[in-house]
Amino acid sequence: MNQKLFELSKLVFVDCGASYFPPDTWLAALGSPLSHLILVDPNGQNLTYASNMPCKTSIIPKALHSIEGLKTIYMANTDSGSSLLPPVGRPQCIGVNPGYFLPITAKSILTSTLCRELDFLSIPVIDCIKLDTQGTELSILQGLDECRLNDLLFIEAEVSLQNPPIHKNAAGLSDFASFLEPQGFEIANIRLSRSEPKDGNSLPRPHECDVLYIRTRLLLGERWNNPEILCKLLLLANLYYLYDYADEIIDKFLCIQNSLPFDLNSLLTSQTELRSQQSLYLSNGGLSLWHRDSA
Amino acid sequence: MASPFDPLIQLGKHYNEPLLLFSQEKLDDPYLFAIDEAYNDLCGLIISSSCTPVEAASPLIFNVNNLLKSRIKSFEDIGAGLNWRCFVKNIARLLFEKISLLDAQHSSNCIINTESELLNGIAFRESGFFTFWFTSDDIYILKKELKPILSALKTRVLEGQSSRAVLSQNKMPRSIVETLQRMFDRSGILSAVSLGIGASANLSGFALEISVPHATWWVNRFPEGQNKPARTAYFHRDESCLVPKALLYLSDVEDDSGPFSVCPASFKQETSPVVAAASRVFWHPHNLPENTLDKYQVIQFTDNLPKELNVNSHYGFDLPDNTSASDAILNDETIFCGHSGTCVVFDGYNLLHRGGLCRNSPRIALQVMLPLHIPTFNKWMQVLSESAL
Repeated sequence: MNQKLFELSKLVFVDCGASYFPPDTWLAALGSPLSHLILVDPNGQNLTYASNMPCKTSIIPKALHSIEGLKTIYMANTDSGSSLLPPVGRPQCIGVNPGYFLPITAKSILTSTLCRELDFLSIPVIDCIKLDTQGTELSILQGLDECRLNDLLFIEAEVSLQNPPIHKNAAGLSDFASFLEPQGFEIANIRLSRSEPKDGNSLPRPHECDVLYIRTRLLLGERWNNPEILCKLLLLANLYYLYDYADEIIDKFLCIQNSLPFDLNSLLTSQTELRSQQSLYLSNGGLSLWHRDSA
Repeated sequence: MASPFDPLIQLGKHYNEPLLLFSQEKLDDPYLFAIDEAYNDLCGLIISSSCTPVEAASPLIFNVNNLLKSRIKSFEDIGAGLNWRCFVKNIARLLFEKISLLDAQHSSNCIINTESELLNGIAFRESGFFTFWFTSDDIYILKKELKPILSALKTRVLEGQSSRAVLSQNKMPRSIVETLQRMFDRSGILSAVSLGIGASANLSGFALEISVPHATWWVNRFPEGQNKPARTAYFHRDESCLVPKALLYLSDVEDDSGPFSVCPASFKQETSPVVAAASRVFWHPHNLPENTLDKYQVIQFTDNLPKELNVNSHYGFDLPDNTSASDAILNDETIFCGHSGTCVVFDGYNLLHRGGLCRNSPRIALQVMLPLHIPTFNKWMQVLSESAL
């Protein structure tokens, strides 16, 4: 496959609340040794797959928060329910499926900030972050320094839609909007997770969502003219199947192609090959988070 | 911002300069300890989080020693040198309690099996209290076992006795302790407290007490300039941060039978650990060899204390009625009336509370201590005993 797009973008991905496998949305980029994947999970043992990834990988075996300090982590019976926030916002939810949360092991843990950990790893810029930490997603973003937050292009986060949320004080969509919109982000996609209705004729109600915040042309200002940023955006837009946005970026490249420090045709070929690969992946039954709505 | 529930503020001893270097946020960071400049001779002290407990203790003792050396003469001049030494040593002891609790919290690991343990544990952590209701079967069995003790206490009531010491019993037969252990194990209270406070809670220490309307222990103490007890009488914080408690009603408790109450807004509102420690030492006279001084000398001793250390953890007795401080407490007071079997579990160190101020019908209640298992506590006490204090 033509590597031009990866070569020019050299994306740095951060997966907070990393699971036992890499996010499927990023798979194409993670196949390139030019990409860098940073995995964050307090249980570093979950992340052993990192050593087999073609891309460069780093592991942060810490719990992240907006501030450093001593906190409690609530390790649920099921790994995906663990959080720095106690699952007491909707007590009735524990009763419905007690084995999901209970027994819970509450352990003291020293939290760090994303800023401190990236400083430690000497990583000055991150391009795309995925957050799935059962309620502390926004806190983790708030632990990022202004400079890195300003450079960040795509943010994917799991957000509760319940009021109150199961994890007490988990940030809701409005909290994300209040924080991210003034920073120059807007929502590009939302994928809803719905509860199975008891009555088959009832419409299922959403209880949480994956939300994708991106920087768009309007919000980029002068950076819309920066080829390096545009290359990163182009790859991210393609990875997230935002082909309209990708085409808008290509139009921009066409406008400034005489001043580009690289061959635009090669970039376009690379994009075409990436899209073909994605299409093949999906048609072969491959999973993409953003193509499935769950019930 | 000053809290109306800080004892210094309550006593009207406001200070504008940044006296306290310690904030509640910092309390969460083990060993990040700053002794406030409550006294000119006390220099700020920060113990890094990389310190071991013993390393952390050394500079603390060094600073307390400095305090001792620099002020001892003025107290010796009034014959209170021993009191001052004892006072300072007890402040250090209570600070070490706090540090040893932080030690334990640093490595806490608690398994929660039920929804109620989880909810109660979080309530305890965030508010300092929760309520549990034992079944009537549990209470029936317990009261049956307590019958001989209760009968003896009731006889004393009929004899007209009113002293708290006489109307309470601290020693419990083994069989009753075992019954209580079973009740508390089943209730999940110990797990909830362990989760809430971040250290393992146990069951040890009891006080069965009958509160009677003719008791005088709380009605004979008036605030300055007032000829009746304060409406906030007996509101206090406990001495040790290592002993949360449960108060179990063994009779139905109404408004007039001395219900237990707390001020939720007071939870963790003390800003300085040094002032907090001083307030406990001052209240608990057994910590001071007062018998070495005559009454005049005791007054001189307390008058010689820096104003920030001349505070008292039981300040509810001293607040005049209709003052903003008194009103803040009374407006916030949450009163627990309830049937026999109602049990309020509370963090008496961090929460203003009171109870047993019986006005009409008697109250029978069993106070159960839930001391925390603190692995490094003995080491800290060893450090203190080997210090030059």
